[in-house]
Amino acid sequence: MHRVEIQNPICFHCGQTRPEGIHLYADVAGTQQPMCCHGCKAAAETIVACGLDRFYKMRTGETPRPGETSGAEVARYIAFDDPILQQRFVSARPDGHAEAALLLEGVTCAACCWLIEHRVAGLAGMDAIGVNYTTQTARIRWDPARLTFSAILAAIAQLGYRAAPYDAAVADRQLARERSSHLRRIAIAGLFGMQIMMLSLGLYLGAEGGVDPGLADLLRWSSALLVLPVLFYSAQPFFRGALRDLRVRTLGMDVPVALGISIAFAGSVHALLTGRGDVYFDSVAMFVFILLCGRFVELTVRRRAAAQWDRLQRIQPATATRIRFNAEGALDDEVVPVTALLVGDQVRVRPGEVVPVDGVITIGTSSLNEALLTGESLPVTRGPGAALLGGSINVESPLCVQVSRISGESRLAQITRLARAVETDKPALDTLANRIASRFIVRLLVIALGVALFWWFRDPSRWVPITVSVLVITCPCALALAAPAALTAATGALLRLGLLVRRTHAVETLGQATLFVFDKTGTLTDGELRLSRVEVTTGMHADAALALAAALETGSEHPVSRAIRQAARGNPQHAEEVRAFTGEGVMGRVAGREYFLGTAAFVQRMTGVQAVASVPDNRVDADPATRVVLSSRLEMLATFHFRDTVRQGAAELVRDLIRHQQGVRLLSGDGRVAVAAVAAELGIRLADANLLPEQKVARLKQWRAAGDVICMVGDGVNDAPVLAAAHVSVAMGGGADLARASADLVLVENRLDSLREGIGVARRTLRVMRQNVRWAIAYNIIAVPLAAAGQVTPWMAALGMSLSSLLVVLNASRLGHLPGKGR
Amino acid sequence: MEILFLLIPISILFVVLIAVILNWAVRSGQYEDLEKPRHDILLDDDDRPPPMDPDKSDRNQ
Repeated sequence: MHRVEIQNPICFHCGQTRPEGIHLYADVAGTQQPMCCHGCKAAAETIVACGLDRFYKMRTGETPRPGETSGAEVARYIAFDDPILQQRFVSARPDGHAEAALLLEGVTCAACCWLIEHRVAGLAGMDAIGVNYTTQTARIRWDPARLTFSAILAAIAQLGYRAAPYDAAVADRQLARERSSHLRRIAIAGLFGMQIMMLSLGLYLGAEGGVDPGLADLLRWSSALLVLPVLFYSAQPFFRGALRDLRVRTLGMDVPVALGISIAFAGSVHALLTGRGDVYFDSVAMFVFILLCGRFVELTVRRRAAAQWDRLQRIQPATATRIRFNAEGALDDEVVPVTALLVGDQVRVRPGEVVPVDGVITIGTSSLNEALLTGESLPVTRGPGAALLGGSINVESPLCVQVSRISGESRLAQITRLARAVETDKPALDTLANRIASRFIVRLLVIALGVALFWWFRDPSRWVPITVSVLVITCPCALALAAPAALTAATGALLRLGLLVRRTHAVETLGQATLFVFDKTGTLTDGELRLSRVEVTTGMHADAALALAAALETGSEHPVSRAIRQAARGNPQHAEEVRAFTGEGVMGRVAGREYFLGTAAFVQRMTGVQAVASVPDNRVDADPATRVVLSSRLEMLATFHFRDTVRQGAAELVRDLIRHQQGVRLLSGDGRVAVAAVAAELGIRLADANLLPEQKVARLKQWRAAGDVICMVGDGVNDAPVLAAAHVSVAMGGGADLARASADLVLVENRLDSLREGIGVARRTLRVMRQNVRWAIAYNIIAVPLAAAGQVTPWMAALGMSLSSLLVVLNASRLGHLPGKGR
Repeated sequence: MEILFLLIPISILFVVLIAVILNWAVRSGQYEDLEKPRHDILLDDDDRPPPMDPDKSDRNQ
């Protein structure tokens, strides 16, 4: 045990160590239990007050930390009560009650389900609730006259879980149906396959010792009967896939699979009717069963990877606070969905909130962070009359904004449309499986034709059985599993690394990428300012200057203030009479003396002190926007320089890529100076700055035309189109929704190390896939001559098929084990 | 060995029967959540109505 943990007790609710200086307790079953924060305390008290404290005894997983329920969050829930919005996910029942599906976050064990069920069922007006642990969803039914939808969500939030409505009618319901029909197909193939196997065993054994001919016929006919459901029900997806492929004139893996199944079946029926040759009904059933199992695993892994996280991000409706005059003529705030805003409406945007739509400031001045929209890493100051882009974040002070364009026409919506348009001509690399499939079919048909002709002349009575046995033995079972098995294992391994695979082709393409293009702000850098240098002009010590600055900046959430506070750890001094001038600076009194901190222009205006431009302008951090001056009334004391710091792991990632002879480029919407600084620090030689989303796409298309396989890594809304245009794209988990929606992979925890390791996994996946294909082909090279010579019996075909498939799957499962650390 | 001529057809009937039952089980959502139901038997209070089936919407029936 760590010493710190003994000093600071562990929170009874969430299990995290209670920070120093917090002395919160909650009464659980008569005992005062330590709590780490007010959120946990409130959750624990709610649980106890509802008589649900058994939860603490039953839980087996981690309990999420509720955090403080902020007013803004509750207001967000209220937006869900909007009847227009509710049409999307609430269905009315004949008795006037409502029904909806919820998506839950934070459910880690069955006790969590129990807790949510019991808490929500206890609300007045609630009819029923059922929680599904596997899919992390809940279905609720309630009386809208007695209970609002937002109250249900708030009750769940109080417990520390997050809930959001989702439209069960679309994607997920379809996935569930797909899964259930898949399961039934597997069950049928397995069940009937086992029976056929049992009957076949009689035939295998009887082939040597001689079995009663009548009985042998019975066994054959029974097998033929039992294989029908497998063929006409279980194998349907392969036939449908093959038809679809042929219709669009491509050759996927489904074509040789469907061909293999039909030939084996047709040949066996021929043998059954003529009495010459062997029957391969057991091989048909097993073939279908193995391939279906492979696909099912693939489907499950993919679903688990994408489901939760992705869906929850999508559902949050954007809300806005509209200001209106009420009946008494006073101003009134109401939370409305963004789509309900009209041009001319007044909207209030508090610090920390996102500007809902494009608009013009009517009251207030504040700094706005537009990094996600433009790539600009520094907040920009805007005052009355200035235009705002929807999607930027208000940093400092409250603003009133007049809506100038409704949400469907905003800059954000334009970029979204661009991303969609680009996505449709996204280049697709031919997948390994497809390439093999086409080569395989050609070779197979040539061999079969050769064998058939040979036996036609040699011994016409045997040409059909022998050609059938050649076709059965070459049945592409292992080949069809070669790629999906490796991709499935890789998807799981990447997920453990924190890299979410959203599209199946992504792993394969990532392994082949030759040019890696990065966005700057928020991708290679944190998007957070850090103090890079302090320059003192008088004899003052740098730390002392920093302490003064930190005292002045105590209350502000501006990135510069945060950077100063972070740099000035230690004993803070106390400042009095602090006055902030938005976007310019602050003034205040520390230990009786008056100080000014802000832009050079601000300090000069306030004090008349000329800021000394002491830094030569060719220095990379000489960008005036990242410089803050500290001054007293009489003289300038210090200059602080800031920089958007490079993300941890970025340097290693770039070095690693260059070492593997991969191209690395930087593509940013930020200014030239900032981009050049980061590029220089990371050793990236090719960097482009000041680009609009459209220009980024144009650059990317040039490189695409030059033959590079491009992997784009980005995070912002402005990156979405270029993410969609790349062969394969990676979005930061902390980035904009739109960027994530346009990307093939998502870095969930924003760790660039995960990306570096993920690229390694993708390369190894490609290697394993090629190995698998070679195994499958090697098996054929041994088996085909035997079959062509007429030496293969049905049991050999069955055994060969299952062993080669097993080998391929085991080889792929090596990808699941990550080298090095056990993350 | 003549008995086999009776037993094998019977076994086929059995397989078909099992397939039908399995089909019903999958369709009725019994394979949807393999985790929670086994805890429900321990966790649930008998004086409360059973929770509704989370995977089936009444409107679909």
